[in-house]
Amino acid sequence: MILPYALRGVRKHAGVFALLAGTVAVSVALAALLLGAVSSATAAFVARVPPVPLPAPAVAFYATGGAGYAAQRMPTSLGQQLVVAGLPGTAGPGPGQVSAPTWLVQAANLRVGDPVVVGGRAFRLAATYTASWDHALPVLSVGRGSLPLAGKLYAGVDPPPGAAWVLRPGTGTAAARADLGSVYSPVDLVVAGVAVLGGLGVADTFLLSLLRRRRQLGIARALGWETGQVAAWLLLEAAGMAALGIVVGALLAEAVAPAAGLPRPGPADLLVALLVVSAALALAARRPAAWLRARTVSDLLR
Amino acid sequence: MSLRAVDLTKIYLVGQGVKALDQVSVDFPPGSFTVVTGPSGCGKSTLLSILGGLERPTYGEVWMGERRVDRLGEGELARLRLGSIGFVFQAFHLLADLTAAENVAMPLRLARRPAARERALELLEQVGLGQRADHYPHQLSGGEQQRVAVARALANRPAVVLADEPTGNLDSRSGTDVIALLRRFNREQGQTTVVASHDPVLLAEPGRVLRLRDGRVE
Ligand SMILES: Nc1ncnc2c1ncn2[C@@H]1O[C@H](COP(=O)(O)OP(=O)(O)OP(=O)(O)O)[C@@H](O)[C@H]1O
Ligand SMILES: [Mg+2]
Repeated sequence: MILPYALRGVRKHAGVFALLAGTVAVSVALAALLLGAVSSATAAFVARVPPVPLPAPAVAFYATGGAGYAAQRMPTSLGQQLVVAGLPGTAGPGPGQVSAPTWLVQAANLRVGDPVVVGGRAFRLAATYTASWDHALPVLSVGRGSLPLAGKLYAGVDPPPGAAWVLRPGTGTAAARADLGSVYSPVDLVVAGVAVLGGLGVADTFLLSLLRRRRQLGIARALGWETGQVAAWLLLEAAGMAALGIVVGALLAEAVAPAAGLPRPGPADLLVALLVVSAALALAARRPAAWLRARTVSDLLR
Repeated sequence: MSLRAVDLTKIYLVGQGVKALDQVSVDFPPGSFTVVTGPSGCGKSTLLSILGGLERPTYGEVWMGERRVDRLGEGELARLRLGSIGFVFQAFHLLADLTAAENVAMPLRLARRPAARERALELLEQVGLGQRADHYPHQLSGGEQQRVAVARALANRPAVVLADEPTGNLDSRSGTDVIALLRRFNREQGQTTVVASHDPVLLAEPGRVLRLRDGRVE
């Protein structure tokens, strides 16, 4: 009974929503392009390092993309901690060396001094560091400064071109995959950040539309809708918009990601989107419900 | 159904407090048609809102038949409004996203009545808008919108119809149409009808007039 009215609302607000989605899409696209540029810069950086002869790899960990720059620029809450913890600091590696977080070192059964291959070139693992966040990335230090080897870390033997390899002869691939399968990259963090902002935007629009529609809600109440039904109506409407947003967002990401050299959205990304959206909805729905309950129908109709 | 107010007092807590209604006791017999009138601010809207359960009195009682309604919980009040009360407002208050027929059908659907659309079309026919069923409110004149509102108010065959200045936003011709409709439904279907108005046309007609002044019955 409520659903059709909610769908009306979705249709009516689709215009505002499209604007919002457009803004978010443009920000994501810009972020993606930026990350893409940084990614190629990293590859060029790595290419300048002289190669070291090494035995053939038995296990390969590789990282795609390269978002070091963006990771360092991210707000504290999202990524800075990760990068600061990951920076080698005084004990860090010198030019042509790699340091890696302890979890990776353990997972790959590495020791300091072991040979690693990054971007098809060889380095020695010079240092390990404890990251405050489990998913901290290995850090490659080439000349001045250092760059986290960004992107998702995968375990496998067939890395794409330009990927970074971290090698440890004699370690099983399966174990490594189990450890590294669900690692999130800074790219995901940026996207999640944009998603959170987008979610807040939706929640905000929703609250605004609620205030603008105060009279409409009053009419519904006068005609016999119960507070819970009105709240359900609003919630369904918001959920409809959110669903629309996820679909549009996924399609956009599908279109934009390859061009910017980013991984395509996977099930994990959709899960993140769903979580963010549910949180935004929960946030958005609680206030109006209380707001509604605190008002008489006459108040709403005034 | 009879509608009864006993010593209704409403005080709005703004500034030093506004006494919008001051011990109003009034009895609306079943099937009666009453016009509530009086100068602006005398409490007409407040009285109708409280009678219809849109807000609660500060003191006093509201009875609908044998049922005391001012103490009902919000859920019960909502169901009472749905099933037993029809409202008509000065500003029409149609839902802008819905067509005329959908507006009229809404209370029917909410009450899970079968054949909501058929009944809505029938009601629109009765208020002379059979041809406008699929028009949105903004495509209708004020008088037409108010007739849709009357049809909607009557959809669930309420025992009580409350109309707050139903002709206040209309020219005299459309106003006369709306009043004629309310009277006709009252005569044919016997809803206890209370209309707040200072429309001279309405006041000139036969029937009971309740005059308020400063929140009291004159
Ligand atoms: N929500 C409110 N808060 C404060 N005062 C209110 C509120 N609603 C009504 N009043 C006051 O109560 C008194 C009665 O108001 P009411 O709206 O019932 O008058 P009315 O007879 O319907 O007037 P009108 O003919 O102008 O519609 C007025 O003094 C008004 O200012
Ligand atoms: Mg009034």
